[in-house]
Amino acid sequence: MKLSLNWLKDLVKIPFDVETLVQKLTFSGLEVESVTSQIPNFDKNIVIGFVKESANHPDSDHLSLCQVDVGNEVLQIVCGASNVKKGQKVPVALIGAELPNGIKMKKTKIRGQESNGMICSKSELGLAETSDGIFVLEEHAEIGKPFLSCFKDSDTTIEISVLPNRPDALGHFGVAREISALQNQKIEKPKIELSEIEKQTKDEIVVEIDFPEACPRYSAKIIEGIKVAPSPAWLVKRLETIGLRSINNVVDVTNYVMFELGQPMHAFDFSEIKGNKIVVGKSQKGQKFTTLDGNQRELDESTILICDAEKIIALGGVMGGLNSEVKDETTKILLESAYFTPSFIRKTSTKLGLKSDASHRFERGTDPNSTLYALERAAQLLAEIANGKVYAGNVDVYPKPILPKEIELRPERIEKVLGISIPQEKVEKALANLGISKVAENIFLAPTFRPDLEREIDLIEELVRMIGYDALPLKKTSQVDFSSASVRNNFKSDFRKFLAGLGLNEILTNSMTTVEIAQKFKENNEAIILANPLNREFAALRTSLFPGFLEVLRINLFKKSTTSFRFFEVGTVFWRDENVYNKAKETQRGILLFAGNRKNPDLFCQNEEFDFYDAKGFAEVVTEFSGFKQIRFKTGTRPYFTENCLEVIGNGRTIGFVGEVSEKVLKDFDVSCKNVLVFEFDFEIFEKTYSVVSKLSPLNKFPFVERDFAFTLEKSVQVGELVQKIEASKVKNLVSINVFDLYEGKPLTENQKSVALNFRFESFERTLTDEEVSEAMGKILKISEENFGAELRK
Amino acid sequence: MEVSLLINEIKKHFEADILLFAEGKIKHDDLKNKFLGRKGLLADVFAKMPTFTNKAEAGKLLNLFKNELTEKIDSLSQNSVVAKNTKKLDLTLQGRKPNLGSLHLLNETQREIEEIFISMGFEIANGPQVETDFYNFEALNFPDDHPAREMHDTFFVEGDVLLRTHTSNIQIHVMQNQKPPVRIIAPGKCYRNDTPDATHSPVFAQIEALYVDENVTFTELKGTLDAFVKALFGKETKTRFRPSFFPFTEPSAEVDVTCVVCKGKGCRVCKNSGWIEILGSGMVDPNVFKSVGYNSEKYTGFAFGLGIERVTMLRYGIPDLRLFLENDVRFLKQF
Repeated sequence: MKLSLNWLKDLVKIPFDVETLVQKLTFSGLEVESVTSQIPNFDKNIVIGFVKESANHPDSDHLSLCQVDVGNEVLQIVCGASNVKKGQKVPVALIGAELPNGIKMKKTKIRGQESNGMICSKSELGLAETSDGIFVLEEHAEIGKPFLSCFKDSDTTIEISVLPNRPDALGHFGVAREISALQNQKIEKPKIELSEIEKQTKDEIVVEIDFPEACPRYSAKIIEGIKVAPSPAWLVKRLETIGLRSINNVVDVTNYVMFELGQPMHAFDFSEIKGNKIVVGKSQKGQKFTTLDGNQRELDESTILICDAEKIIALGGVMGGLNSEVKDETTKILLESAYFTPSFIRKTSTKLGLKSDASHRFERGTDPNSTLYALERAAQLLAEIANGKVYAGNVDVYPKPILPKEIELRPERIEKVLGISIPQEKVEKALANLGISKVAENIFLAPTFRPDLEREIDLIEELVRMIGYDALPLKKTSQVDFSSASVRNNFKSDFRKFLAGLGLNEILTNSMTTVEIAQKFKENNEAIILANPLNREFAALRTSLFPGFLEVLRINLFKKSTTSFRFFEVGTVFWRDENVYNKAKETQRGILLFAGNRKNPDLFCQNEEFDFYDAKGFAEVVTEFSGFKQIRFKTGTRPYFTENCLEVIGNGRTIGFVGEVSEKVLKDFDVSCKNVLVFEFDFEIFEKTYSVVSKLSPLNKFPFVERDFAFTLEKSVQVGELVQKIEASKVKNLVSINVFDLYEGKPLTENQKSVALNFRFESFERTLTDEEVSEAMGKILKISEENFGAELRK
Repeated sequence: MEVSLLINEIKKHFEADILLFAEGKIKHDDLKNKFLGRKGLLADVFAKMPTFTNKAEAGKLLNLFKNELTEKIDSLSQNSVVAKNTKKLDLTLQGRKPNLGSLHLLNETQREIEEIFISMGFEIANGPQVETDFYNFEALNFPDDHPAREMHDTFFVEGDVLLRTHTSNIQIHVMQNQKPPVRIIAPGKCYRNDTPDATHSPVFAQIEALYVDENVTFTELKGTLDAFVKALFGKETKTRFRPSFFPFTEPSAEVDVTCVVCKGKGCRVCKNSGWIEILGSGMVDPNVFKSVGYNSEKYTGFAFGLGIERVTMLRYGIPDLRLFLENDVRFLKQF
């Protein structure tokens, strides 16, 4: 909310500079967001001059030759403006003065006549875009004084951020109260002197409230004799200072009172009110009404309606109606000053998408006990500036008065929350300054203009605002009990460091995505889609990390950031689960992606491209690091992989997939790179597996024996199946099999390949004999021949 | 005979033999034996020691010469090995570097903050990102139809299900399941329906701390935060508290710290104030305790939270938040 400094000064003494005020407000909870001074920045060599003489220039018919008194001397100045006249007070830029547009004044001759400065126009001073002639100053301007002195009454705009708990600060008076309290003083509302005519408001209007839960109080007053006209300059200026446009004197007064007291007001054209009656009622669903911004609005069943005997004339607390607005020819008005229940206003304004300065205040809570004061203040101003004749008395319907709340505040509680004790007199004085009075031992009365004060803790907060957080000492955490701190689960951190050490770059992708992508990459469950998306890109929660990775790859390829792409992330994916309270299942997934070159080409490694076996190898190493004892692969399928896809099975369950991304998907994502390999996995299983503490396996003290076989096989034989078959056959003392060579080509036939395998044997009981090992190798040969048609190469 | 003459003679022999050695005509061992061996030339001279007039002086000179000769012969041996068995490399060529990976800056900042709190006795708690109105708002004292809700532009899923707007929902889950003392930090992603720009993102990460026990006071909140910012930003860092409003704490305060860029002198980042706002904090509101069944007469607590992106941007001079999600490798590799 924007404040006018001059306005505040009308209401409270401010014996310090703006900077101090800003500091004080900010540190009491009304954070100042900006300060804008209307005082322009003028060179002190621009002074107020007096035109003593003005004669025609001897050599020009549009120039004048002026003698200008600038205080200590009289200067001859040539002036080109037609409005220059003897006896004017004008701004004069002396020789050496710098104008706001950067021009420096020099002594010149114009058509042979010396000119010792310049009489300035508004545009030359940067005060207007264009101007017609010189700027003629007011009579009381002091000759010889800096031009800047004309601005000594200029205002300053102070914008503060008012948080939702402080509706009282939505008017200048509330802020003035705060400023006063910060000086340890209590403020009183100014007395209003109001002269009223004999006619009685109650004789001409009756108010009925049919919706008391939404409108606990409705006050009104009639004013006649009004002349609707432009507002006086001071009022226009005040409103401008706080960012409001002046409309006319009546509307401006209602706004002025709202921004002074925080009480929204509304003025109805009295001639449009039928039946001398105001009824506050409740809308019916589907009812239509045109608000004064010209929009027709369809209402629901809880809107507060202000009606006359026949029709709706306003939406209570939100906006007036077009049918009863004050027009140029209006002479008699009904001023409304009411209190509406915040939640009703908020409902209506949210549903209609209609926010106004009035609804903003009502939905935060205005003071139900200030409606009459605001009416009188508005009436006083209308009498002053709009020729208003104020009817005597008010109509005030307030069936159940809202009383200030009694709140207990115990000294020991203050200490328990803040950690220091505060002397009782100090507590009472600080609260009293804010209008919170003591009524009994430890009992205080919270004024109705502070609806946020309801409990003991609220008063403690007021107290600490007044004494300042600086008054509280720092206390080190003294009660730390390390036994309660959990054993740190470092797996995720270790895992990430491990992958970074293996040369991968950790990335962080967006957990929100488009609906299409969320649905396309979901597994079995439905995607979580938002009811109010921000835009297409922020419309659903991701169901897979994979598409985000393709996007990152695309951007990096486009930017040519590198030629070797090695990415990983551990992140959450989401899907619907109707069986839990939040209808969502969230789980952590991991993904590794490889694309392009294994390394950026250098001396030792030229254009070696990633292939499937890189991804598979990483899958093997990563699972081993994570503590899986047993890993198996079997042929798998994923919609976005080619047939080169393996399902990874760890400790007996599916834990992930390794695969080559299909060309179609790469094309869909506009990824201009052919070899993209991915290992994706269920991180939560990894996390659980890691926490299993393993025991040392004894080291063998007997030597091992190694033997090799080279087999010729049909090309279609899967080497992994051969290896698995041999492993499964439990050949005695065989501990590992390693494929160390693959060969295709001559002298083999076209559909043959050669595979070289290394077998290691060891026993924990003794050194193995040659015969034992040969016997085992014979068994291996037999299995290979019988099951896979293997032939031993000679 | 004077010892110096004998030494000169040996020197002449040695110089001649070096040439022969370089041509490969004498082996290194023979060379060594001839001069330094038990029956070598030098041993002969030592044997003549009793005949010298100034014995002390002679001993000193001889020993110096012996050391000199030993050093020369040993160095010959090393050179000769190089010469014979190795190929001279171009040592200026680059090394065979393995790929070096990197960790994402936001995760690292989060981790660093976690480490600080763990060292102060806090535990890490996690909670759901898809949340109900109750956990995200109601239990945290955001009444229905209250303007406080406007402070959070919320993404809704359906019914009362929404995307959490802060990690404070975790407080409620933890307190529902655990009696005090509670000392947790809750990191994680949050969502707000804000248009993305250089400093706003609809998805962002927050970390929140909560401490509830029998005698937790605001002074302790100040002390803890002070220790935390000193650990994160450096020992010189100061804090200052400004009253503010959050529905789930009261009294509440915004916390400024000494500008990390100019160290408080005033710069563009801190708009010349010397301070930057990075934290929201306060004493847990009794209504929050009520919603989880804690006795607010007995227990008090504090909570505070900060945005991980903002802290990271300040510390590393990152001008635009969108760089974090773009994942340009040239960006990633710097950290």
